[in-house]
Amino acid sequence: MINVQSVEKSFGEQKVLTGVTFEVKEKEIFGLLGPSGSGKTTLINILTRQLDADGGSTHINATPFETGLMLDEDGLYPRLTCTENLDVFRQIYNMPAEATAKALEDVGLAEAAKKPVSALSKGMRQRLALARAILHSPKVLFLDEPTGALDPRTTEGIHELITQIRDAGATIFLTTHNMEEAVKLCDRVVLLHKGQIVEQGEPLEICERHKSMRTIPDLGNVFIKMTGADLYD
Amino acid sequence: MTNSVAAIFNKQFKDIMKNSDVLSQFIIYPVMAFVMTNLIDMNMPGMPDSYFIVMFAGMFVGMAFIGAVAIAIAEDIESNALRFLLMAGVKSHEYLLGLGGVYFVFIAIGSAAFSAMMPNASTTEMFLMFLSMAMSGIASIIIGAIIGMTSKNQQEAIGRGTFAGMIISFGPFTATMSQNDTLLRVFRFFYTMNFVDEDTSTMEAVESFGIIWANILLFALIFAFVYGKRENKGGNTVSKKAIMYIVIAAVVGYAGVTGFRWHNAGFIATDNAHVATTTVPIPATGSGVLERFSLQEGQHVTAGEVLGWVEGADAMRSPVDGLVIQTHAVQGQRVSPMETVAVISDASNVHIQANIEEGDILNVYVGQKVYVRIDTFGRHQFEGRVAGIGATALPPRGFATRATLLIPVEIHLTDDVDLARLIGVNASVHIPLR
Repeated sequence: MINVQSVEKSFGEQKVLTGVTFEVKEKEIFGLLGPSGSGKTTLINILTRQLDADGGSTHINATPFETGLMLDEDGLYPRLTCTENLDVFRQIYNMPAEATAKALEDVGLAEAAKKPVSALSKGMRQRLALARAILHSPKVLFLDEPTGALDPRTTEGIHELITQIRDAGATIFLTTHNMEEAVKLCDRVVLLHKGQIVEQGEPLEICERHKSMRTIPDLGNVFIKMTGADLYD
Repeated sequence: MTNSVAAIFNKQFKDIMKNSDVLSQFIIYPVMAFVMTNLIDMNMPGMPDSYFIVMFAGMFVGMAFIGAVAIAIAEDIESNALRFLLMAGVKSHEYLLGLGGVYFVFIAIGSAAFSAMMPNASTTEMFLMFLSMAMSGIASIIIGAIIGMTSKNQQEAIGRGTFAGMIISFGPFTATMSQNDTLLRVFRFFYTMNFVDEDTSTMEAVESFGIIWANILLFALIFAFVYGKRENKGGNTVSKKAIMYIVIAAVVGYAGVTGFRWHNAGFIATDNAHVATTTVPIPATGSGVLERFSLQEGQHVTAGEVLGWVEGADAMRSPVDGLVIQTHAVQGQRVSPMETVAVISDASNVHIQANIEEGDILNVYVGQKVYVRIDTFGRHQFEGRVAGIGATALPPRGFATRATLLIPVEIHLTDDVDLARLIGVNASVHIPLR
């Protein structure tokens, strides 16, 4: 579904991505893991065509209209209601009026439909951003830190939603620095450190590979072992 | 294309309607203009009726909209909202078109309100005011877009927008108030100093529309440059379409203004005209008591007719055929020599006096054909010829010392119509130049 070959990117002198290569299969939840500054956001920007790579190639088996996006900064209109926010995109996608109500229903915001975004909690905003991303039933969904800074209960809800969306047939590409989230949610992950992939595969398989470690071989410890850096730095 | 523009337009319209900070700015200027013009008696002699309307119109178009557009765009960039639109396939020119369209609607509504407020304007004058304001609004929207697109965040947009708005609205205002030559020379070329109000002459109006259009073009070019740069930085291809639209708009607009100029250069028109004649004062012929003097105002007299006597002196006779328009004495009154006892209008010299603006006067010559409408006769059009052009301008009546001066032009009607009893009635003239 997504094919990334030897992608390179520099900002001035600083090398942000070096020879990044991986593949995302159809209908899987794929996790891009790494601490802040590892190049996750740059990679998601390249994949969503907001940035050009300096070298290598990316191929996504979906048109921009078949792509959904949820970023850390949600870009919602604070003065407009939930419905009005979604209606902007519904109209751009030329979809019937019911689509908005359905998307709000899907993320459990039906009752807040008439509330202005400025009156929503952080978790509700995240869910609304997700509703906007899935409004047009995209084939590929990019989620940048979908549960960043959310309380455990809201995170739980978002996880359920992501799984449901995948079960409905979408391919999901998400970034996170939360290893538990990755293990629980992702079919496969890549670990990114300073713009390079240090490990990739199924989360449990990765842990298995490193079981000779002295500490419990969870993804966080694997990361520390391989890079000497803490994921949460 | 249409979907995206309509979606952005709807979103921006709803957003403005919910944003009282912005909405109140759009309302306060027309309201202030109305209050200052109609509810408060400013009582400043010679001040044009539309003074406050033009002043607040400048602030409305300049201050309110440059800031509003700049902030709206900067907010969408800062909050990441624009990124989501672009990701959803909206082209940046579609975004700007939809967003700018909403502000243009608000400018058009405001312009209509300002134009309708002008106390003594004809429908044409109101329309020209509306047109000059609405066109100026386009320049403001473009300036706002430039500021919005180049600002890192809302704060920066507010700062720059206020700065630009201040210069653009208050510059012309200061120039007019101070009558400072340097300021006037500079701000003449700002669109906010070129609203066409009821005191603007035809020639000035053509120049004003030209300047407004030049402003729009200049800012559109800066915009296209900034836009191209931004598009490149974002990694997308430059939208050549957007630049093409600007060029097409420029060509169409240029053709429009040229056509307008061509059409308006074709005639001089003014409704500052009236039926006039020479008046003849009748002096007392000697010192003494006025005898057999019974003239009534409006009474018809013929040349040589005896108007009365002064005791022990010659008869007073009318030198012309005409009407008595004033009497200054009554029978039995004591008068002294040369004291005016009555004023007679000369019926043989009844003509139309049209006061033509100094900028137009060089196009007027003796013998030129003129069409005249006289209020008494409604829309009936009379024909006439220019019979004489005044050698000096009428004293200025404007508030500003550099007010446009008027030169009286005498027009004789070639149609046979008796205007002797209509002295002073208002008229309007139309002088074809081709």
